[in-house]
Amino acid sequence: MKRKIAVTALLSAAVLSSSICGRAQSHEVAATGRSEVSLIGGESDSMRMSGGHSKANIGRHEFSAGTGIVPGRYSFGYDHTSPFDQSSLPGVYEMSRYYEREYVSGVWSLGYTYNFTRVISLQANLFYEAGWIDRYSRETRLKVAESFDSYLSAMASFRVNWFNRPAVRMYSYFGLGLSYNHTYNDPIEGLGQGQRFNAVKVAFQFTPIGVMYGGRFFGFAEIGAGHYFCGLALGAGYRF
Amino acid sequence: MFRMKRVLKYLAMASLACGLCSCEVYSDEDYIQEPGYIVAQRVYRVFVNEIFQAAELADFFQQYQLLRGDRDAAVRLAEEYFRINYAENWDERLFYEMAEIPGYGYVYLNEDGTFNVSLYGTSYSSGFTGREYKVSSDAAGHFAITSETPEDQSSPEWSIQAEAACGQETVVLENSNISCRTEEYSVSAVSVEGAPVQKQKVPVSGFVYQASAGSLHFVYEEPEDEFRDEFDLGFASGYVTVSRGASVLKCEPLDEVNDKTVDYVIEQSN
Repeated sequence: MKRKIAVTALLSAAVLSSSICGRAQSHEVAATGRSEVSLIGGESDSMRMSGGHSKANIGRHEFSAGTGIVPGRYSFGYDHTSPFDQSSLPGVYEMSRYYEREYVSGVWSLGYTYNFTRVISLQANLFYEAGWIDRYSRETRLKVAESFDSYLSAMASFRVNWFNRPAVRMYSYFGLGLSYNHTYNDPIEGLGQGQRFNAVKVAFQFTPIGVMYGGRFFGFAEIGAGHYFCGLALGAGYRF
Repeated sequence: MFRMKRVLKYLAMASLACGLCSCEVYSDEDYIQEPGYIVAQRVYRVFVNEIFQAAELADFFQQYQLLRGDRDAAVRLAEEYFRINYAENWDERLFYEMAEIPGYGYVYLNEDGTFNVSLYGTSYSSGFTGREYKVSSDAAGHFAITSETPEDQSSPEWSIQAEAACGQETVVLENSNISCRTEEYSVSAVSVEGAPVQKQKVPVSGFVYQASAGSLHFVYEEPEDEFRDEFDLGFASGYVTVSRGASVLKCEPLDEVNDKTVDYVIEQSN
């Protein structure tokens, strides 16, 4: 229910903003006398300017795939629990008999964006991230335990495209969503015996700067912070 | 063709990002694990460091008694001994029978000429707080230091007997026998003959945490699991050594606040 309210609010904001932009574009058309096809109420799915001025051919729909450096949940910290009690000396001795390797899957996303106007877009992303720790006996070199923490997230974002040129667009967006979290922590020498936990958690992403380069096929790079990524995101997509 | 090149370029960028983003981020497989080093860190922080502090507090207060009638000289002694170079309100800290020294704790003069020392405390584990030390002196600068578990406390238990000599530049633990016990384990640290543990005095170098010479012999036991470990901890300037027979590990210096638990071995020799 809360998710529906959030999506409805985002869509309402997007429509309201785009209607304002549409009215502004109408005024610009009236003032300059140049003719252009507006995305709002227009018959064409792509915006072109005739009469000698070129603008971004953005298309209404975008599909994209990307990854982030550093993954967002990794930045905030995974929910790994150590099987050792390091506060006690027996725990210290026990810990010395094992070693561990920690892995991160990276964060992978698929996205769809609907461009209401040149300026306002709504995007939906699905992204996945996991981190795990394998623990081994120093004596036998065999794996004896594992800690695992994964997040499958769905997020809706409100995007403002504030710089539009034929080959380059720059934008900012803020997104809210939910993550399905699956985690378990094996006891030492208890591989596979850790209790499984599932939970739903809130996810957010703030990206103040993103840049797209290309036409129908494009690449993108973003700087931001949140549960998707903290730092830099890269990817590619197709628009039509 | 141009479009295809661009597609390939973007895919290459994405692939490079893939390689950077998914990987092994940590492993302690190649780190040498020496639990004796961590045991020594904790015993030193909770007990040995406090024995040195108790010795120096008693040494200062012993010297103070000789000139306590001259207030200016007494204050000067306190500031020089503990290297306090800021304005301190000694009227609230320095009395004939009691002194509170910033960063250390309290020292009390008893009627029989012995001292009681109560330190601010650097305990790591709960239960090891509130140690009181009894200090007696048989000669100027030479002290016997003891501490026992309070009667109303059952666990953890501890027992400390040490002899300390405060010279011109160093404090030397001539004999020390430290033991502590919980429900799970016991650990003891005793002086090694011919290798007294010594540390620079505060008036000489300011507060120095780790001893710079000498050795302690450690015995760690878990009675329920019938587990026992023995090793020697050697002190040097800038590092310590953990020795088990012919095997010697050179390790990072002991940390005053936090335990180093990985990547503390500098060198291994067999």
